Amino acid sequence: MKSNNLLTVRRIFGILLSVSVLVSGACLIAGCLSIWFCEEGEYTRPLVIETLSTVALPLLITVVLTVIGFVLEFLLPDVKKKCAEPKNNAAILARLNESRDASNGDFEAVFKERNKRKKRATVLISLICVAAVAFLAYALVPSNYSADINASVIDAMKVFLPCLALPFGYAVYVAYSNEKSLLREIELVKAIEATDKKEKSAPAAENKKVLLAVRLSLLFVALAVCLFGYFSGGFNDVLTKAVNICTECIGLG
Amino acid sequence: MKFWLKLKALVPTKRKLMQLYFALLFNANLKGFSSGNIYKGSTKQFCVPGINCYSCPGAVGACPLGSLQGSFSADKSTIFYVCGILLLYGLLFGRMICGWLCPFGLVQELLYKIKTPKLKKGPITRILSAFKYAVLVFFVGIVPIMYAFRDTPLPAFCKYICPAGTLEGGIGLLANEVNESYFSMLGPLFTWKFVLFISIAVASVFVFRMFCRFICPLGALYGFFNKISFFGVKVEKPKCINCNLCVNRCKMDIKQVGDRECISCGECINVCPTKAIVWKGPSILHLNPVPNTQAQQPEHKTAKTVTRAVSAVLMLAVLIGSFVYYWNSEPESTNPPEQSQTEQVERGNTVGKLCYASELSVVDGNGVTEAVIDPSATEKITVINFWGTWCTPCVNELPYFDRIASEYEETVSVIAVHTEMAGETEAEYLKTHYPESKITFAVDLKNEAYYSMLGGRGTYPYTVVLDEKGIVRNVFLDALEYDDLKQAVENASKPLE
Repeated sequence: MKSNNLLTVRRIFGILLSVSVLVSGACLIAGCLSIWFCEEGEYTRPLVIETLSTVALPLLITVVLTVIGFVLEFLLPDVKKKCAEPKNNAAILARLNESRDASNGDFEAVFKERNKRKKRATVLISLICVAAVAFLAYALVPSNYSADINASVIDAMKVFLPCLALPFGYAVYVAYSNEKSLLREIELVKAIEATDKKEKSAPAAENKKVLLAVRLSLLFVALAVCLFGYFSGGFNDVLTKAVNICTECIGLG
Repeated sequence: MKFWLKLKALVPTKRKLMQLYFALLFNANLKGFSSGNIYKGSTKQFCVPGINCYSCPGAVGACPLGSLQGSFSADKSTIFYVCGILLLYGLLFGRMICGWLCPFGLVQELLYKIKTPKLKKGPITRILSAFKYAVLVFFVGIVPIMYAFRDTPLPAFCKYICPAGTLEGGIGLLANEVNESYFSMLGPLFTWKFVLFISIAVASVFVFRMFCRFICPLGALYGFFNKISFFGVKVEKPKCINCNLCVNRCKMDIKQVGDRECISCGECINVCPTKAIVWKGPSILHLNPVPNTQAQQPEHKTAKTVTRAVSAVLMLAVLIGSFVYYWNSEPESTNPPEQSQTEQVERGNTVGKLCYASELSVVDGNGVTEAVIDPSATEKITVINFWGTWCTPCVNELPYFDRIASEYEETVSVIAVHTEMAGETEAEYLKTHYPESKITFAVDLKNEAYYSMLGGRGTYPYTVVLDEKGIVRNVFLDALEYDDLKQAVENASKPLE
């Protein structure tokens, strides 16, 4: 079989399997919701088994297709996909700057691009800070946590998610515009004549010592805290919680 | 030849074997799966490094995240103990735990093996990977701490999100026929968690380690230690040529090897053309060491093979030993007291049977005293509530019991039996929260003897309502509202049909 045909077979099979997985998931979710939203609105073992038996077919098809997928992978010859390595413009730029010092050439345009990215990053950080402050102003008020835990958590989520949405949306914009900016900078850096080679700084032995000191001191702190907690009886609460089932805590009740 | 190469590719990698090994080791109580009960032994005082629900019938250790959330409302020493363990694990392994030791990571990776088209990482996934820090701050930090100030333990992440809890604790318990009664407690919370679990499972088929990358707060926590951890992967800068192959091939949202997103799976080690990526830590523990001149020497090779064989045998022995140990670790059985010849009704813990009497430690303003609780002798309707200060619904429903005890003081006796707690600590708790309460507070210290005697199966809260003769009239496995409790009490005053 030609490699193109093989690739097509695999693609079609992959799509079929994807659809099957999605349908199975949707059926399981629909089954669960149908029990909860049906007239009785109560879960019972027979009802759950009955619902599972209705979604058994798509699940079975998915299992069979999954097994076929593995068999096909094993039997069909490998196809070398012509796919390019994912581009990482930031890394390419870093590599270019490793060998060329852009600041010694016509760097005004380069700095302009960098400043654009810096500005975006500043705006993003500011947005995150504003969102965090706005959320914490709500979240750290004890009166917002009433005895009705579910309602309180839902109310907090109503504040939390909008606070998250704005920085997230802006972060997506920043990610895409920065990629374009990086591409432009790569072109600019490539155009600049290299005059000086950047000196590679040798790893300082000092850093290793500092790292070791940090590691050992943290290890000492960790052991001390852990042992202090253990011998003060801290394990009792962990044990009590672990050997009893709080049904609400695992989402049962 | 190609056939053999393909067959070889089917053999699980060392990392997969290690993941499977630790998943089995952390869930070595095989008897729990057959009996439907969770393990109640002493090894549960130690936290395992990865996410592994302690309500899983097989679990033999505590979940570090659940313990952390629970510690906020517990004694201060618990916070020290749990934080110390987390710090220790993070410092030793960082996010290597996610890649090598976490059972839920294994589940996701197995789902990702299904041969569907995959969604590759990109700028959006990189941004989404920051979401787990928000989950860490909100669900593991702020909400449990704020409720701890109200003396209400609330492991918000376990309750509202944790898919490992739904799979291992929820479905794990429900799958056993013995736990059929648990179905009666399922409600909107289970529906939400099941939908979330299925969504995460389906997403994991298309997106590599979807939960770990975008949601897992434990991974977010361990990520902070990646740079300073003793074990993991690191880049030897002088050898690195910045080709970026490692970052391109990695399925996680890393910007460089060993950063906060790196799970130290070690796949980049083989990709690096200059062998600049190496394992941190002592070389004897390296699973796929970079070939070097020393390694090619035959004696060194033999020594390595012997070391590995010995380690494998030891690990296998530990696993089998754990299976055998947990299989044979019988919980202390609680034999109900023998039936008296004069009693007309048979004693038992189901509706219509005469309730057992037991000796309990009763806690009041004067301290702790031993007393025999015999509901049939009080000539009052008796409500026995089994609770724990660590249990959110128990703490929430206790005021309703207090109200019933006050409103029906003449006709109803309410006994709140705490699962396990030193008498002094409980006396302190009661002094603060229920100084004037009409409830009789008691402690079930002897291996939860009374709880087991009355049919408790490890779930809290658990309430038994008895009539004036001490006959069981109602058994509740889940938290009660005031109206439900009032109804049960009123029903108990009517004659048994």
